[in-house]
Amino acid sequence: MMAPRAEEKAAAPAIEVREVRKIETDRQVCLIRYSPDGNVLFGGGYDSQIRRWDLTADEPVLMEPLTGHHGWVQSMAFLPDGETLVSVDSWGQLCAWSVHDSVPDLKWHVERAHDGWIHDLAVSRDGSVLATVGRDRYVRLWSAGDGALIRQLHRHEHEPFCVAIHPDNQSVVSADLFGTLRHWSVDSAETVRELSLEKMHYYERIQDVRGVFVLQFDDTGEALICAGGQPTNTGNHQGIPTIHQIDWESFTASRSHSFGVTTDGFVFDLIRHPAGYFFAVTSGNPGAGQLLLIDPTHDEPLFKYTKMSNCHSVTLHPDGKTLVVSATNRNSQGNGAVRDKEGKYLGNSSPLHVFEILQPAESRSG
Amino acid sequence: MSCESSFEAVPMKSPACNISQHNVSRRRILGTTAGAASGLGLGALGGLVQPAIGEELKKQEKQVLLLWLDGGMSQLESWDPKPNTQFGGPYRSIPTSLPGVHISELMPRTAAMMHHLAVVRSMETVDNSHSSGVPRMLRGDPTNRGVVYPFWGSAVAKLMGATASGLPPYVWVKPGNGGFISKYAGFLGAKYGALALGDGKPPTNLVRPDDLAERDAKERRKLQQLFNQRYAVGRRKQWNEANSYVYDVADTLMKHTRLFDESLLPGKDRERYGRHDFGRHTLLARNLLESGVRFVQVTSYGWDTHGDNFNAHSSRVPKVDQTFAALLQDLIDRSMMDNVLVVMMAEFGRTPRINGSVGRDHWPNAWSMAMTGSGIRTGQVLGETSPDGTEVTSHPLDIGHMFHTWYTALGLESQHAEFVNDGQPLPIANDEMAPVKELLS
Repeated sequence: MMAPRAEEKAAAPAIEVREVRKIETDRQVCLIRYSPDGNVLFGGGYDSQIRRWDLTADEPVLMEPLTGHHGWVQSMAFLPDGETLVSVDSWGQLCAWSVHDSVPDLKWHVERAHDGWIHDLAVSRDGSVLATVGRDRYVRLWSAGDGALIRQLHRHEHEPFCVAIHPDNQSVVSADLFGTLRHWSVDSAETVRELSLEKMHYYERIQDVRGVFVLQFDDTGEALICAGGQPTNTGNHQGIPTIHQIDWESFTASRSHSFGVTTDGFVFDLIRHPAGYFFAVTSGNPGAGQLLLIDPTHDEPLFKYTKMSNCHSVTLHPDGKTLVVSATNRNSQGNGAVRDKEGKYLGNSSPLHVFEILQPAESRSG
Repeated sequence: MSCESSFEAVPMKSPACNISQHNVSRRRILGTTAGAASGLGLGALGGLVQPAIGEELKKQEKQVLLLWLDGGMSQLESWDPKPNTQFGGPYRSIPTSLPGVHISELMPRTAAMMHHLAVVRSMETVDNSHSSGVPRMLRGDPTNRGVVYPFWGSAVAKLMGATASGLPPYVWVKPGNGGFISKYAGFLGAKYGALALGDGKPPTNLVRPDDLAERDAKERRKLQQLFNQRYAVGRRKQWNEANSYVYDVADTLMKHTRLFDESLLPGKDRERYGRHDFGRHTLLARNLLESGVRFVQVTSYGWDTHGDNFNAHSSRVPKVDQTFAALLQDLIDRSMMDNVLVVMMAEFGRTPRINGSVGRDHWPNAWSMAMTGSGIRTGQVLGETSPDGTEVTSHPLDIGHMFHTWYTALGLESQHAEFVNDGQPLPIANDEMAPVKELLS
């Protein structure tokens, strides 16, 4: 399927994208990741399964899901070996799967890695260590080889939602509900530094609202990206999408980008393109969704693609030429019962939008 | 919805009883005691009342606490979890003190006290809009007779009157501004409106200024009453009643300013209830009930979680859990459970389906509420929903059933008692419904 080109160009980007396909799903998929060989797309969602799509044929083929999780699967990542997928769920379980063969195998799991919802999982650059943060307010480090607990860092005062491991493996950073980033020493398990991004938190009517959704180091470890938004209310969870670039040496925000208006919401996911750009996806209320191409040196996105609803995740093919966005079906909001013609109560789904990434010359010829 | 055949009407204590009879009886009692009790807390009454009258008074001194979670708390993240299902959300369920009954992991303190509660999981109401749903629920969705029915608090204020404490019968503790909300009284007349304590504070300028002598204040009040009487000539009685009443309320409250002084509350209690608005306001509500207010409503706003429902409930529900468990323990410890009916509810629940903003929308189709205290058979969960939470599968109940049940629990004969509006008799609850026998002790 050919779809309209990306729109609202703010500057001449070195790359462009165009939507080429949409993969329909029957459930909501809040997280997608390509396998390291680019042959399989993995999706975590609200139904405790990890779905897989074989992408080697002309049309994507839905494979048997990975089962064994509970609740929601909102974070997963591949180890550098390219064969091991690690994933966490909202009941506190941490799993490592061998996904090299068509029939996946659960290599090991920790049933109660946290007491309740594990919000994020990070893998060290060398693949030896995993870091997790959960609703129990702990930051924990695990051996990627066998799931053994390596270290428990001190408890956060407030719920941490994101975690990242510095490429030197000596430092971990977590970001909490109040927009506070903590730099932890792996050796001492103590907080080394703190940075408050207080606009990424909002309080009203007995509710704290988080604004932090993404925490990532760059390859060199010199910069840390903290993305999400500046929440502006409670019930509808509106906010202004925001990305902070944090200088690691000084642990200060060296550059901050806020895009759009309060209905645009939050950056839910972000990936780096080898050409130096970020692709970010946003989810707003009601129904707003965007794919943004961001040059870290520009204040405004190079373009916005706005023809999707509530985008939750983005993943880049290893060849850098394709990306996929998990979005939401149109009209996902609605009061009362939404039923089909047979009277069956309808849930929502997550169409997966596949985009080609083009150099400008390719774009013109395409 | 009509009264379901599965519910039997509770046998009435007398074949016919109207509210004026209740009022006569009550006035007789208060006529004996009110003078002595005026200005004193309920706790002080014990020594002033003759034993026989004391027992009668005790029966009459039923009170109500309504905890209103405005916007609609999710039943799936509270009373009726469906873990590990398509719409179940991220949370686990936990066992409770009631064998076999689980509720959301967000409510561990309440789970330990579940045997003190009755939870209804089968609320099936008709309105999915806030603007019409809130008044519909707070009025008990009576049959439309072309009049504006009072909110529950106003109705109780009329039906049962103030207690011997003389404190205003309907007090609403809420965030934001306060004032006297006369419109809630509907056809009863403005006098039965809600005295709203904004952020738990008494009305501004309540306390007599230092430079106004008490004698002068009394003279002013007398003069004002004369003006009011003159104004009332030729006008509807309710108009002047309300106007005078507000000043009477102010007079009464002036004698009870200590009620609103948070600094006088034990620090331990403030910690137990929580220092957030809901905790502070519910602790105040406990004090108001102890002091003799007939009907107290505590409102928590912001439950309309169309976005980020799950983190929102993770932030909100534990606060409610903390406060609610502290309240229950206090009511038990202070032997107040026999006299105080406690209800926690909203205008509806939230959709099973999760929208693109990771929120849940409005859902009157199958939701939950909890109650305890006076007249309620606790230690039970009534009604069921389907495994995915999308429909009620047993004991469907509407708000009309609940109003009958609560009135009955308060000792009123809900199917016979009537309001009288300009000579028109009006049932106090939906006359197509009946009390839920299973919920009554």
